[in-house]
Amino acid sequence: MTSQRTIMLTWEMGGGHGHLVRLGRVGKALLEAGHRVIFVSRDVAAARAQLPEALCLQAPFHLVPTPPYPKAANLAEIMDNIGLGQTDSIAKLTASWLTLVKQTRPDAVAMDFSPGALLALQGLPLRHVLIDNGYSHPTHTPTLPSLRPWDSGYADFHDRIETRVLAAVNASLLQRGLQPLSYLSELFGRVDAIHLMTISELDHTGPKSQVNYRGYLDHGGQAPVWPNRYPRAPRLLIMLKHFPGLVPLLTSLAKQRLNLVAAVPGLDAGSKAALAECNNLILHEGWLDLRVAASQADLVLCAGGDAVGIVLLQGTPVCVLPFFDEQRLTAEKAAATGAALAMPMGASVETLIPAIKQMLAQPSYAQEAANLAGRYQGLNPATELEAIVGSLVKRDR
Amino acid sequence: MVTLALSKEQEISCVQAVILAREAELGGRPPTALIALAARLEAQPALSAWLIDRSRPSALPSALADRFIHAPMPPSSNYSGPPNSLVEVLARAGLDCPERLDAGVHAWLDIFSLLNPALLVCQQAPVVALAARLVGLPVIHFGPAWSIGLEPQAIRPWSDSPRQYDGALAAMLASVNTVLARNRQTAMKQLDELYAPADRVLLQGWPELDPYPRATRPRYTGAWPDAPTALAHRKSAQKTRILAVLENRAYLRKVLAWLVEEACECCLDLPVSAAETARHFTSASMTLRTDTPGQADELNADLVICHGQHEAVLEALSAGRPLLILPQWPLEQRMASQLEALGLAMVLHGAPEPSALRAALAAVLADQAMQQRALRWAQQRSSDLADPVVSVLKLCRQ
Repeated sequence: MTSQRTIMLTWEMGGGHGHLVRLGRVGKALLEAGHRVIFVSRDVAAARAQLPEALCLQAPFHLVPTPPYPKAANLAEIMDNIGLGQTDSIAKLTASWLTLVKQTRPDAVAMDFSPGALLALQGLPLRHVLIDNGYSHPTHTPTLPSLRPWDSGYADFHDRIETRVLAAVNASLLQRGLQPLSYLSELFGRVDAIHLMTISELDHTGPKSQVNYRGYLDHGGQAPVWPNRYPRAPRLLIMLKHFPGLVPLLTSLAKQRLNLVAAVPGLDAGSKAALAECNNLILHEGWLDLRVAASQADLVLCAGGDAVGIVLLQGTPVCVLPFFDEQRLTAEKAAATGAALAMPMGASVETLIPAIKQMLAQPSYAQEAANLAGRYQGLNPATELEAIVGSLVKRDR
Repeated sequence: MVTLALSKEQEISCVQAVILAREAELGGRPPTALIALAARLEAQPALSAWLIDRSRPSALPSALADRFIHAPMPPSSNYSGPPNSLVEVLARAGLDCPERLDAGVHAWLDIFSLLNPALLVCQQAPVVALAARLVGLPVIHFGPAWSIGLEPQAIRPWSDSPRQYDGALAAMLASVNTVLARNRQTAMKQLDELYAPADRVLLQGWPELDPYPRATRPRYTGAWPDAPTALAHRKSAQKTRILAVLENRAYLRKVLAWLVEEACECCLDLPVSAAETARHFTSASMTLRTDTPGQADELNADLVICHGQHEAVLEALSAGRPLLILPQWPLEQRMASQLEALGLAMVLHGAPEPSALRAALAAVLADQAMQQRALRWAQQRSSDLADPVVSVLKLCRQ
């Protein structure tokens, strides 16, 4: 074992708990190897749930009554939303991050969608490692890639915001005696290692060079129990969060000749009762082993995120029903592989049922998924995790 | 920064950390007195002060620049205006949900393990107070009188039927006791035990402005850190000077538009969130301050216009100035009616029209008796008032 290191894990942005789950997995591996872990996140309680053994602290944040760009078109607008477009708020955020570093004295920092930490910790003598995906890590090009490519009418407007954020970021760097950036994406390259937790085909704004595509970590979980209402009928795995149309959707799916498992975190008692009579549907409780479940399913219906890649790498096609921009980008990338279908955001039950039937009837989806999985047969989550941990505990910078 | 001269027995033998924590407000104004206390404690030999709040204040003294940590906050927390009562403060802080409370308590315990404090000073921070109880960390509660529920009745709001909150209070007590039981601690009989013992409570302001009748007489700190500095009233021929401490309310634009029209000099004190709005309404005779209270002396205003916010009232009274109050929320209405009863303020209810504001302003300026009462208020120097720095040092010494 290498001598004990102190590693800070950070998470600032992004919805859901996917970021915390994968940082938690990295943190567990670090703890098992005898290292000290400080988990700095925007949601301390959720971080603690992932990694109760770590010291869990609140990530510095800049409070804005309303983010200026609720539908951010690129990373510059996301940065502006969290105070990285103004010199005074950058100064406050930086001071708060530096206080945390001074108190906890990390040897390395692993940043997951943490542009504030990335900027604040520049120039410090510690290892800087990014654990991101294609959405939160841009191409290293002079202009940031669009995160809403379907909105193409305001390029000048976005460029002006990017220029303003770059000026504010550079003012902060210069004030600290650091080299200014030529362009904003350069900031994301000023690190010791970049791990993208995806595959190049599903990189939202990729494929990219100078990064390590690590696929998806193994989070364990329980295998599903499938209903056997219709022997030899297709198995459909549904992984969605609760939304107003969920119960009607599940009820309609249950009317098809399918065996269904649905994993819906936080499903309320009323919805459960409404679905109790669907005898070809089992609601999975607890953490689902998605790898096992996907390999047993004929098709998976999900909203996006890491689930899409994990399912495809089991050779199972996916129907993606996105709710957010990030999920829509994933859906479109997945559809481009031929192994997935991207549904429009907010698609109705009437649209979804025929789409699912069509996917199950058309063998090309399963064939393309198998081809994709075949290309990544050698991608081992344990080996990738080891590489990430190795990049954090490495001695020389 | 003033360093207190300590007697031999007041000296502290080794460096001790003091955490000054606030958690219930998010997006509101910075806790001026708590920041001042942190800065003064940090200046003491053998003390290390840490300010922990949800938002980093803009005007943080340089001594505290690397002594600030963000308080743990659920990402969904958002500022929705000042709390209506202490019940609401406790609910916003998560006391009504044992899981959320437990998570919050553990987040604070992590901060304790990082800073190893010898003492905690709380302001509207019930979760950290509970965390301190679990590890036996001494606590001083320092804040506005309404925010410290020393007695059961002080936790209940006064503007509604008190019984209507019985359910909420019972749920919070059950939640607190669940957390205490998980950590093998004795259950509380009443929520006010969270604020015990009474001799470790410091109430900002004066007994006359305490909204509750107290069974035990707590210690008040007056307008600390500002000592009363009553200035003589300026000559009437001079242009009227107004200090307007306003919040980001629906009628803010209307009030600002009126102030621009008035032939007066005005110092406008606004939260950062309203500063952008103000830029469109300020005139050459207006100065703008954000997050930097305590300048009323420099301005030497003739009166203070505010909503009845606690710190604005303390600032006005310490300078001996009458108030024109535009209250909106129950706590502000309570404060306004107390000040009106004391003859120190005129109160305008509802969204004020320019004509009503103009008439009220003229009435306050013409009311010599009110001005004299305000001046006398500032000149009164009570030896009963406590100095929070001394209180903290005494407890550290123990």
